[in-house]
Amino acid sequence: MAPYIEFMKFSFTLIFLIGMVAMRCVLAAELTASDREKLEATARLTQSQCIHYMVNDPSLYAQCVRNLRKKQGSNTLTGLAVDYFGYVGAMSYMRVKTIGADTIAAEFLKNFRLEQKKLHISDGDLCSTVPGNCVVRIAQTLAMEKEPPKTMVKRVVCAGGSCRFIEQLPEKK
Amino acid sequence: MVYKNNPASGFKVARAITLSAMAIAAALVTACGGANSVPTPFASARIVAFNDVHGNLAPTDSKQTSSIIAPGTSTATTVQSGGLAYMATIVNNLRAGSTNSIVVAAGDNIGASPYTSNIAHDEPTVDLLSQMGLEVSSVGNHEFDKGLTELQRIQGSNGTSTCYPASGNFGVIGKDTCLEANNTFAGAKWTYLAANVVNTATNQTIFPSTYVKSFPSVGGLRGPTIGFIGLTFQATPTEVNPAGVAGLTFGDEATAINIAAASLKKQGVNAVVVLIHQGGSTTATTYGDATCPGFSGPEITAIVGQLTNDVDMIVSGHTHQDYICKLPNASKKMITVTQSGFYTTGVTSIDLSFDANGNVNGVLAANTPVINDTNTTAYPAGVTAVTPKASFVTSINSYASLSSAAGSAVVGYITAPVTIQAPQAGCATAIPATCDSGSRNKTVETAMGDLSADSQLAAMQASGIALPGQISLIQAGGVRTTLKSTTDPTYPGQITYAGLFATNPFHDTLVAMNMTGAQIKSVLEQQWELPNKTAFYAPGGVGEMLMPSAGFTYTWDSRQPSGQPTGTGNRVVASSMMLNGVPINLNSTYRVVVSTFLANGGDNFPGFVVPKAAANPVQAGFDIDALVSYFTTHLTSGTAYTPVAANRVTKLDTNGNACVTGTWATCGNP
Repeated sequence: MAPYIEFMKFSFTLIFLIGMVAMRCVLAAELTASDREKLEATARLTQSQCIHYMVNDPSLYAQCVRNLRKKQGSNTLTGLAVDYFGYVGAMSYMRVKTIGADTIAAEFLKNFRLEQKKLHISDGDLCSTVPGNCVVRIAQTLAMEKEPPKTMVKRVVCAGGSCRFIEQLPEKK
Repeated sequence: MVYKNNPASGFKVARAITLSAMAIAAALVTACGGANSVPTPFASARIVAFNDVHGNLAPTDSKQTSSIIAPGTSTATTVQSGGLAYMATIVNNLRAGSTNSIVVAAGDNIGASPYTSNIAHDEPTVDLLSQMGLEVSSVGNHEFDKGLTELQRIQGSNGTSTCYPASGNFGVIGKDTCLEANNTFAGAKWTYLAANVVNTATNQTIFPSTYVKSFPSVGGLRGPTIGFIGLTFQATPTEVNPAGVAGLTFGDEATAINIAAASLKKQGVNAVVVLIHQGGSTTATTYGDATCPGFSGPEITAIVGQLTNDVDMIVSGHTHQDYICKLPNASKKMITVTQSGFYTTGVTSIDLSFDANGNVNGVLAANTPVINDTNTTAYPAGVTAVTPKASFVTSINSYASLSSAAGSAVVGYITAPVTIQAPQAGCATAIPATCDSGSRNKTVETAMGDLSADSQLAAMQASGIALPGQISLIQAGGVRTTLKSTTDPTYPGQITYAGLFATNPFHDTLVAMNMTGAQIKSVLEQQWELPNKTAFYAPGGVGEMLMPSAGFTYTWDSRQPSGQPTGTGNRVVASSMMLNGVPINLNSTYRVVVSTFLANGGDNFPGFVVPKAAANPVQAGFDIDALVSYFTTHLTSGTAYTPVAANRVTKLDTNGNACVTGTWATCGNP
């Protein structure tokens, strides 16, 4: 009897694992060429319209991305592209220690994850729609999800056309 | 084939060929002028470059980190970075790696600087970058923040006074700056270049267009000669105080570069390197990624696209990123374009190699992060933190001490604290956030807010600009602390520069712009519309206050709903808006003074973002300077400033009656 139970255990485990893999395949469906094109084009649009704000005022960058996302309405695919670039664009300034970029990245990370899940797009497929090192970026994404940045406690300071952040009191948004 | 099976015969033939070749070679050598004409190889040269230091002597916020990638791996690690003393070590290390090296920069070395450099008119930064060996730099837009005369002083080229022109208002270090021995300031030891900035009065560029560096021949290698061209972006006037660029024209970048490059080539330089304060950005998420993913930068791309083959490479700036990219020039030749980051977070090294004729045949560039974090336990292989250069640490500490002394300079007197009003009784707990500081309530009009608005309007009116302003508005978030005397609680008492700086620490530029009465009402509504309403959680759904200068009054009605979407709020009683007792006409245009922070829609006030053509914005001066100037009539205890009652804004309670000043936090709240 014992070998039979062991066999059944093994079989169920195998079936479960196969099921998981199959589920994963279904959930992370292949991106069609058309969808990939839309994602890439919308990400480029977001970049061209918003990234220049990061130098002077990261909050304006965030607002630009939010506005662009709003324009996509219920189109989850292009909405995903906007939010994903919002995340990557912020990460690209986080790399040089731009204050506030981390919290902006976290905001768009949260947003694009919801849309990515709805559309069953894999991390790899999504990452490949914006140029860069995907192994690193995906690892950074997982790390940020594991340990999100603390709430921004700085405010933008503009002087003569250039802005930076200064320590703010806790109640400052 | 003839001598395949006859080695002896083959040997003879080979010998004959060799001898013939030697004879031909000898003849060629003779014909070409003898053995002495054999070209001596050129040594390589290393350019150590950075940009956008912006007077950052110390590392910026320690809570923020750079992301770097371990060489040869895919691991991203976050590290602490930046600091001029650490950068000096990196620069030294990079220079040590090459016989021929030069340190260059691509602008914004000064301007928009933190307090320590700022209060000393950036002389500390000039001193330290000079000590670092910076030899040539382009101007950036921020070099013009305080005008050409001040920039010439920084360069040490204005001939007469080398000290900051006496303001007579505040914080004198040494003798109106001049931190060096005997209260002098020699100016920068580097050469500023400005190939596209012309003084209209003289029709000459304000600084040289080019700089030539000739390296000596060493160890049998010829030293190359490198020509540098420096310039800033043509649209610089749109990003700085107009007063700072009055009388100057900023020309087309590519035209200026091509003319200067041709001239340098005629002079016989081996390489032409452009230092330009303009750049782009990439989608890389780690520092030092040399693959240039997703480069975006329409302006710099267009400039490079018009350049001739005279230009060998470009050191860029302005966009505060790091990258090593290649962009096509007019002949579709790919030109290396670099940037090192900003605020001392990194340094670029560029190795130029040359062929036998002295032409550039290799450009090898890399960015090195300035890692200052000696506490990180696990660095990726190949990544190390550096120790700060000791002499820089000493200098930076010294400057910090001097700036502290400047901050203690007395700038005026007050008869009582100028408050930002403590949280009111309506706050039941320390949460929500507006109740937790114990020192500030951003939902009410405050005396310090009113004073700040008054100072900004007065400063613009005294600035000499046309249409300086009629109304000033400042958001509660821009006013940080209650202004107290250093003798508190004894009054009248003196106030210091540091005390004023603490109340308005942002060093924002002020701007006067046109707004219609309707636009003013609309932006006032944004105090209680989304997202300000939700951003501050205040009881009664009150948002962040905009406080007006004297003469402008208005009433808001707490019975009207708050938290409306932008553009749909209706709490401001339109007929209550008055300027010096005259009703505001919704269709008329008024001149409104705000900080550039607000003018950019900061703190959820997008209503201030008025199209440029209609707004006709004119910038003049900084918020802190406005405050300091405001106290020039209160420089003795006998002329001490008395805080005004915060009663320019009236709140209506649930019965439509005006709330008593100082009871807003509870009056009229549900």
